[in-house]
Amino acid sequence: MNIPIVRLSSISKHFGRSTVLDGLDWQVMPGQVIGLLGRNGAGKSTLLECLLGLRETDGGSVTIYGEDVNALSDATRARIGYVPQKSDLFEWMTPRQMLDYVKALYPRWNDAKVDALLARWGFDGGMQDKPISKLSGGEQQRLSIIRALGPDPELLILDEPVSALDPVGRRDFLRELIDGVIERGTTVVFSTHILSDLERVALDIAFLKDGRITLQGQLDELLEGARRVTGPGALLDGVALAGEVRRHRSLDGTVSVVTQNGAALGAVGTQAGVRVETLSLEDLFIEVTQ
Amino acid sequence: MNAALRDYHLLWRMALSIRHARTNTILFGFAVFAALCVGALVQLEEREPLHTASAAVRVALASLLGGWMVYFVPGAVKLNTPFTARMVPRMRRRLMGLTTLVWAIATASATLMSFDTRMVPAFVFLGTGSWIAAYGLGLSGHRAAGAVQCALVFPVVFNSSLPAGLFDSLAGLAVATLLMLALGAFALQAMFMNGGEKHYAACEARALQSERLSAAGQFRERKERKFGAALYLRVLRRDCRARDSGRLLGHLMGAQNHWVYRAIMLGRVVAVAACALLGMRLFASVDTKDMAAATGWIFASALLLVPLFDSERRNVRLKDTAAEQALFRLAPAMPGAAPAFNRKVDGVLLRGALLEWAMLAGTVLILSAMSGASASSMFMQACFCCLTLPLVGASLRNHAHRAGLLGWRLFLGAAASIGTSVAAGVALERALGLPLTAGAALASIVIALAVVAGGFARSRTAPFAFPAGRLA
Repeated sequence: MNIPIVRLSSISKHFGRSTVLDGLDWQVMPGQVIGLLGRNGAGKSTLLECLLGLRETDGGSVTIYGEDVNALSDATRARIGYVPQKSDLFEWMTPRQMLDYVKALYPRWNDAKVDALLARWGFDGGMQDKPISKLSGGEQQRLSIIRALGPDPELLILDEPVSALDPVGRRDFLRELIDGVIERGTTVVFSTHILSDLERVALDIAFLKDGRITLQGQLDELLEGARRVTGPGALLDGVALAGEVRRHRSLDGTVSVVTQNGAALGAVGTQAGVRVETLSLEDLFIEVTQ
Repeated sequence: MNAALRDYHLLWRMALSIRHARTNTILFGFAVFAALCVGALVQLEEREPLHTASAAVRVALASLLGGWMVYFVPGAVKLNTPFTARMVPRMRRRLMGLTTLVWAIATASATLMSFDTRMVPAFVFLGTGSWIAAYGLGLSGHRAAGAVQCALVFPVVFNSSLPAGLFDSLAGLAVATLLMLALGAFALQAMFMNGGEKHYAACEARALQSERLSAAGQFRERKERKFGAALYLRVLRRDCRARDSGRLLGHLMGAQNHWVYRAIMLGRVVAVAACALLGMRLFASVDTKDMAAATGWIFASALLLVPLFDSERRNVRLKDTAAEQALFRLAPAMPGAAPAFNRKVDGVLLRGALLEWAMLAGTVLILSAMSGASASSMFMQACFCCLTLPLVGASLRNHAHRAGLLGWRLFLGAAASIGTSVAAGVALERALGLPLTAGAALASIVIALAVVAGGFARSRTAPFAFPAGRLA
């Protein structure tokens, strides 16, 4: 049963001399909802594009539902939904024309869901007759999400889906994602910078740094286990902590160690001069991606 | 330095440095270069050191003044944003004052420099002043700018047709000067708006102007008239109902790149030409009609250049719709493997290019026929149309790669194809007695077939065509 839906093995990708993905291994299991995190330029979009076969990799292999990404069957592609970072697509069409156009490319299309989403997300009659180029960035992004949800995908890849949405738009999107997508057992991979949204939706998170997934796990477990241990170098130098994620030495000689396994700190955490702190997702993001 | 002078100095430097941080260095360098070149030529021609020095100084001054104006005025217009116009009104006033000063100095200097030359100082004075005002009006994004600039070309080109002594009389000169000043004041108001909706609209118009200078902006989708939009929508609906991926692919590059719009455009060309020719038949003299019959096909031939720009347009749109192509690539209606996918894309692009070529060739022949061209001219015209046929093969390329997506390769390829066809035509004429144009047309058809076959063969081993231009 637990066969990965998406499997990336030793993926490498270079742009000129710059290495974006460096022997990356990653798996996405059925029903997982993964938030992909990384700093600007870390390669999140490139990773998602390689995952979908939209970009050639320089090494390694990608399979989706067991098929090579460069030769996906029609049935497999019908199971994939994708929201790209750029949302001003088919800007010469009106929203309704664009949805009819995309519908014609898919064997199944959930008209009822699309109509309901259009109504709920404020696409009234007037707005549906406007060219997409005349819609605001947030409206275009909402339309892009509706388009991706139209074929009832089983694997949904979202590249920064909420970056242009206002708080109301984000809340609507997250509600739809939780009620209409995740509840149905859809596998979701999405990249975002908005950590508060991630905490509401993602069950798993993966950090992309230096071209690799440096840390991945269930969000609750990671936050529960993550600790920052700070103390004098004399005490912490030479002591390897279980689940160590990052070690940093300040100019004053203080050593700061971030571990994902706070329960296994043992005696180190109780020593005089050693401070142990729990981490928020934002702290963890900064510590892991710095 | 008092406050006003300090403001002017600061604004001058800010406006000049908007386009380039080292504008003065560039302009001084250019002025020296131009002065040396012109000085050397004058010295070679006249061998009069005084004349040489005078010409060199004038050219240097003119280059500097012209350069400063060309750099300063657009910069000043940009500095006056809707926000600064309202929030920093003094800045707007200073910019207007400085621009007026630049305009006055440039006009006066040009007039002074025209003394003791073959140019008429009054004409130089009015021409320079009006031209600078029209230039400023153009930069403001005002709709009338194009018309004013065109209107100014006429007195420059046809100055010999102007009434003799028009500017000799004080009254004539005064009226012309007042008109020039009125144009200048109008341009100044348009250039430095005082915020508000109109100012924002002008900023958008300016952004559109500069966007249209870029390749992407030139071929960007624009709003079409009702008839065209309605017709296109009918075809789009029909194609969506048919669920034919090939037809749907035809819409990928935008409405205005669909054959429906191309057909409408050519229909308009034919309609306008038909009206003009009808008017000519009714009102023109016999000589004019004969001339149209003899040479009309040459003018129609100009349309044969369109396939060159069509290929460029298609490639620009392919580059600009990469995100849309990504969705197409994932669509189940499209083939899943690269060779089949590329074949489908190439087939659709080739079909579109062939259709456009056929419509264009048809338009050219219709126009020639309407102009009363003889049968031999029509035959020659048809052969010329065939010379551009290999260009349809330009749509079959390795789209995944950026290299060759845009640039001169297409023009060089077209030139090589036409050159080869003409050479083959000459050879066939000598060997078989075939008319040169017919031989060249045959050769072009063979080249087109070879280019298309080569393109399809390449696409079998090429990476996925979409998204286009993703590889170096």
